[in-house]
Amino acid sequence: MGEAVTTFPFSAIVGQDSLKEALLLAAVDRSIGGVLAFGDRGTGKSTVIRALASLLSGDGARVVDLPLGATEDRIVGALDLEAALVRGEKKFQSGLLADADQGFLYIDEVNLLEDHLVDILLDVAASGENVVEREGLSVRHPARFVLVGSGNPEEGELRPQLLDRFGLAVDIRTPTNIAERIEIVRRRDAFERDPDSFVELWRSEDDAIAVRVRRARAQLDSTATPDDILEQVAKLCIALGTDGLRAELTLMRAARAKAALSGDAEVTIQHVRDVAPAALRHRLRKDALDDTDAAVRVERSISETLGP
Amino acid sequence: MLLQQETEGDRPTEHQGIAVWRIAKLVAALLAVDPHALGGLSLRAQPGPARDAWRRYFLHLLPDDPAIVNAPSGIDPSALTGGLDIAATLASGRPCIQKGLLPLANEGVLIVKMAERLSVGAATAIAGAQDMGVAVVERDSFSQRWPACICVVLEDEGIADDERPPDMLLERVAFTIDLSPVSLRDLKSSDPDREFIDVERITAARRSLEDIKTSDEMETALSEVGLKTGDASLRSFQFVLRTARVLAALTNREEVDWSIAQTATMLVYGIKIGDDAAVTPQETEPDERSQPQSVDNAPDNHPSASPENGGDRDSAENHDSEQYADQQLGQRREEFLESIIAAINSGAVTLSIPNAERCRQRSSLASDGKAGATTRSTRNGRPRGTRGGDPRTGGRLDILATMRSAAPWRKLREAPRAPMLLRVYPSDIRLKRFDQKTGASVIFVVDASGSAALHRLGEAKGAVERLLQACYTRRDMVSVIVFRGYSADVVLRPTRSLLRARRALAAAPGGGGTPLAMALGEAFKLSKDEIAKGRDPLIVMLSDGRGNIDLSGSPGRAQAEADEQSMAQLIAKENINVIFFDTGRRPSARAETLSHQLRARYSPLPYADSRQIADVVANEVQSRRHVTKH
Repeated sequence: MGEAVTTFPFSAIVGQDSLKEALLLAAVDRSIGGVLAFGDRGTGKSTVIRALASLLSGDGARVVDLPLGATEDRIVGALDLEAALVRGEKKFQSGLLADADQGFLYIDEVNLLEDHLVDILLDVAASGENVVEREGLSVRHPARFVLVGSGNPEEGELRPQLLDRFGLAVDIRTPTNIAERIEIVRRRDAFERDPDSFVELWRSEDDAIAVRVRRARAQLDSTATPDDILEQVAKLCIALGTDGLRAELTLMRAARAKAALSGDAEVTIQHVRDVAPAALRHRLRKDALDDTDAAVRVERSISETLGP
Repeated sequence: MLLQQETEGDRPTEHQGIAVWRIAKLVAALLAVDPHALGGLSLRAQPGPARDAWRRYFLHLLPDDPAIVNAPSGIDPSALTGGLDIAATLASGRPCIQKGLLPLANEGVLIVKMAERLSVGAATAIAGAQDMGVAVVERDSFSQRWPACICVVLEDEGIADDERPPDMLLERVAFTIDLSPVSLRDLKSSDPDREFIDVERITAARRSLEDIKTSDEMETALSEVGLKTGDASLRSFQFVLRTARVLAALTNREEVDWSIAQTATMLVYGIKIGDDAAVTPQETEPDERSQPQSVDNAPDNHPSASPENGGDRDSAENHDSEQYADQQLGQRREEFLESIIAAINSGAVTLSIPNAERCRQRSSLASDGKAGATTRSTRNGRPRGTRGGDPRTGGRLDILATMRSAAPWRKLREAPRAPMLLRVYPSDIRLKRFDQKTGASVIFVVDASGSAALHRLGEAKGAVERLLQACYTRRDMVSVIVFRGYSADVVLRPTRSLLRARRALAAAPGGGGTPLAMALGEAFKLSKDEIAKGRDPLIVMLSDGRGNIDLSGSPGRAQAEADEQSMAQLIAKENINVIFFDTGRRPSARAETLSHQLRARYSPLPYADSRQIADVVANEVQSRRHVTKH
């Protein structure tokens, strides 16, 4: 993250509720996997994600930016050249994956990332470990991060393997509500005029959200998931024909995180309904001839399976 | 090209040039007042006096002598953000970082040459700086942040419609101006402007900018403009508000009024609204108003207008304003919006190409616009790490990787008599590795005439989607030409985006005559474009081959057939690959003859089936693919 830059406060973001919630859920239960925000340009996707960084900064969970121009040596880490040349030491200079351990790894325009870098991410995300074998170095270190990506589908599709890594996916549309549009621009304007006072203005609300996340995290293990809920989750996934167990697992975890975030002791069917679109929309088998928006298909299945 | 639409009828073209030039100068002044918040502009012009004059004018308006940095064409992303300083690194024997052009342009202007050929990587680096005001380096062992608050001038030398700067950057600049109609005489004609706007004026406007008021009514109206034009982007809305404020500051107003709002809308969304008021911040001469002319003449009054009439706000509105002055603001807003809708409906876009291009793109979704980007990556291949080897074989040396591989042996190799920082043995040499792919470009040419049109379109659409889903990693492009009635149109320019394809094909119409010759002509043109961009075209025809409209658009089988033949010869001469799916109920001799002339692979397919089409095409593409690993 650019530490020198003041970031827009999370709580001051107008709208974007689905993205905000998805990020908070992922912050509560990191095992949900990552969050993908795909949609229109200029909607402030990256603003929301960068705002999360400052919100969570108190917890030591970092949001590490992986720019598209990053090279492999900076991502996985490499021999520290300066140490080697100047002091003759064989030292490992860690990369962004090490920085992101226990935190978030954010890639803007993730669908434009070079293929060989995507390969690295897939490998490390699956194993939770970064293995470096280069330049006479043999290093392995944990790299458990929540992958957060954003992008515009008009630039190109995402590789299905990478898509599958994201636990939750949200679709971002440009708001068309006039009052909302004006409020967004006014707040951006106020922020740009005087970032520090603006951040101060929203600090208590940001703090309140951070406390909620922390509480939810602490409560997560004791949040019960009744058997009938598990059954409903399975039913829904079968109805939608999602591939593999990952869909069920993610849906279950997201619902539990949602319950914890709402301060509820037990997962209810409402929690499942709330998180199902984000957890499942990107896992539906693609049907080239069916134009129906994935989220709509999920909604339809929800009302068919779980009742209206 | 939009300007041609504009010059229909009796309007003399010379006025066009003056009008564009005045607008370009007004935009220069706006950017000079608020360079960072307005993001910059995209300036379409071939190299020449108009572009040079604009740049001179813009730069001389900038107070405080800011940094002006030129980014050459084909710039590498690392040169923009910063990266390894090779000379310093080799001289000192330790990795040295070099500041990129973005941080060097901090608080100043970055001029991007041939921005239409910018790579995606470079565009992302610039976009990042525009969003965060920071240049981020995560490469060559460096992790660094530098402030990079910039204003970007995208010099666009594109000629074809789809040769333009990446959408990612067009979205982040407030204005797009096309200088092509500006002649030498136009440049001279507008001298009085300079008396009006100068550095002092800009500096004064900067000071008063933050005090400019915008009524709720006005904000609401401007917010609606975007929704009405189809450019709902929040950035455009932010730009139009900002532009209105800057205009007000520049013309000594205390708040944004309706004439200002109109001008701002015109500049940002590229919509010509109603009469003169659209272009002029202020109007003065009543006699000018009586002329029924529009934008073309309008700028004549703007510059001289402002200084002396700064306080005379009422006259700034067009002559209707008195009538509405006492009436409710709501009505004024209605009227404002109606004028915009009327302008859009009358097809009266634009003087600059701007963001109207965005609107058009959103509605028609015809253009892709990353010509240069793709070209570069196809030519140079995609970086894929490094390998050992001999640089004399033509590979590109990876200095850092080479030093890394030599570094561990430093002590062992140290020669007591000739101490050296680092001894590099041939075995240490590392070369950059690229995957070079000849990207394929599949051009579907779909016969949408006659009764089977809808079925054929549906299957073609299915095939396009299947292909796009299958080829996301291979960087292939797909485009679609549809022909029916009396024309053949490129409804989907080469794209990789499934989303874009879906939208474009959803709207494709069907029925009518069969202008097969025109379709072949369009396919030929598009193929040549693609070859120029370094891609390998493959034309996929879906037709029964029964053309009955000739190249001139007249019905008649004989001429149509002759024209088809000559188009087929053109295509065959260029060795462009063609697959001809004969979709007639029975295979026809005519389709087969045409395939023969095209040197096409002929395949009768009475029940055009998307899966079958996609499979055949995918196999063809696969078999033609050259993957070279250096």
